[in-house]
Amino acid sequence: MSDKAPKRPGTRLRKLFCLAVFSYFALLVLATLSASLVRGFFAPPTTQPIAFPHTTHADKLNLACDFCHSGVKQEASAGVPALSVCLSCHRAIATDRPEIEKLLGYERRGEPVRWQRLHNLPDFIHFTHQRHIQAEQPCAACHGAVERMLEVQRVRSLKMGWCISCHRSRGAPRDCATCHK
Amino acid sequence: MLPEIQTHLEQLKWLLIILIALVCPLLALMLGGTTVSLASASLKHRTGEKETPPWIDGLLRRANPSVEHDTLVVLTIIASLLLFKIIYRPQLFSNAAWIVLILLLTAGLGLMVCCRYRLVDQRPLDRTALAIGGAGVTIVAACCLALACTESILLTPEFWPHLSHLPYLFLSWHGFTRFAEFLLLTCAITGNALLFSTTSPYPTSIPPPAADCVARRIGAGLSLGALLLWPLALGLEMALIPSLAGGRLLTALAVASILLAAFCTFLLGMTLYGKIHAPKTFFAMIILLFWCWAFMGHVARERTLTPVALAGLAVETPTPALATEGESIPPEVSPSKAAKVLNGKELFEQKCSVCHRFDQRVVGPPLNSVVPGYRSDPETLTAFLMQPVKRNPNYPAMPNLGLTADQAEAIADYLFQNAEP
Repeated sequence: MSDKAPKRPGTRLRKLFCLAVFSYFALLVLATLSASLVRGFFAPPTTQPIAFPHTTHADKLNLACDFCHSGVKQEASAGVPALSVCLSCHRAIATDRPEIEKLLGYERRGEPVRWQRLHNLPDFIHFTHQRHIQAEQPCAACHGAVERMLEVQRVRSLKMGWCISCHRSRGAPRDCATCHK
Repeated sequence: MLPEIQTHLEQLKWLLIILIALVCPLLALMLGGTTVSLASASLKHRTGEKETPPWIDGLLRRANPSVEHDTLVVLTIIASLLLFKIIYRPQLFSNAAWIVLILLLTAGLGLMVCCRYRLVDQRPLDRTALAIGGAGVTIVAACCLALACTESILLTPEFWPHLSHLPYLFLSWHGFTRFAEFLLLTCAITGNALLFSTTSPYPTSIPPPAADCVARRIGAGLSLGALLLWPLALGLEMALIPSLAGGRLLTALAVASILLAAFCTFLLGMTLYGKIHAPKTFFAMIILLFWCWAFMGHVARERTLTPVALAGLAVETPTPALATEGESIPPEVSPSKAAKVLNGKELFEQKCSVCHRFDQRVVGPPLNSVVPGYRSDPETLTAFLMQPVKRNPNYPAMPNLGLTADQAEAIADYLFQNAEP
């Protein structure tokens, strides 16, 4: 004769319930981690090839934004300054500093500096800097206080809702074709 | 009206987070307890005093209408709101709007307290008392929704300047999700009170055990439902939160919250099956959930409201209050400061010396070779300094340094004094 007592059906049901609850929470942990991964919450902070301090150039030296970003008043894109723009001053200034040595190294190798873009808009958006500068929008409205940033960071969402709210409050056109290609 | 505090900001932020972590469970206990008490009293009122089922009495007693924390809740909320205004200076609402919010909250809590005092005094509630209690609960819940949306809109500082034109932007899906999370935690902590409460201030007669059992089951169901729904709301928040606010710490806190909710569910299950009885541990876990929730809000704010983001916003929208102050009281410039501003030597060293020397070429030409040409016409040099144009193809263009006429004149004087004739 076996000593084993038959299992009660309630015990099995209880175990099944525990398993279901455990799976539910495990699934939600995985879902949260995946959602964070997809939204880029785990992405390392963007580092630029050369640590360019806007604090020195835009704040201490008080250079106007368009001195380096020359396209901002005339073109759709503000443009990242060419190596030659940096070198027009830095062939002579602070040439012994490590970051300037990096800059001169790029010139020696004939290689462009591959700056990482922080203010990206989708391809289907038609945005012109020229229009916004003509409307007397300060650069800080979209880029924040760049002159206080040792390393530039994005401080605005640049999402459609944000654009629309600004356009609406300033009476700018809001039909789809204004921004969408 | 409020002081500008730049030092001790970190300490103030920690004080704020501690206050929020303290006030949220207390407020949730009050809100949940009063709602359950009101619902039970309303059922009792409808069925009649004599025909009241015993479990309603059990529920009413276990809702524990204590009033000892009410003053603390009101004071903590007011302190938290003031700290929000001082630390982040959100410009979301005028001072009047913030005061109205505080008054509404205080009034709502006051109405709730009146109703709870009647329950503590074991007086049956009539329709008026029920209506007052209901109004209190509604006002407090509405204020909580407003605060959740305010906290949420803080994460999108770009909306602040336009808020006065577009008040509906104040409501956000993320704010609603945060409010739903608060309600779920309220249900969890209220369920805990119903499940483990041992006090019996009302009524004095000992109810039959069966009635107690029903109240306990209702509490357990409330807690279990809230704990199972909590991770879903958390997931929704992670999907809705502005991308700039997200980060590793926020994800870690969200995962920790889900694991805590799982542990709470496990504890609840063990309690229901009679394996363990750990009311203090269960209560502590729910408080920890509250803290995680509050700390998630803090982490998101700290990632978004960086000083550079706020400084950019200030450039865009100068506050009317500051402008008025500026107009009525012109800034006083001391004679020494004025002299400093117009000190040509200092200005030269600050603005020009990076590129220019008197006797050698650096970026620009040696000044001794160009300044003498302007001696006959000093105004041309001043105009050039204010609006430089490229003259010599062998040198890069000189940037516009945004000098004022006085500054340019001071630098020109310095150059004429120090350049070789």
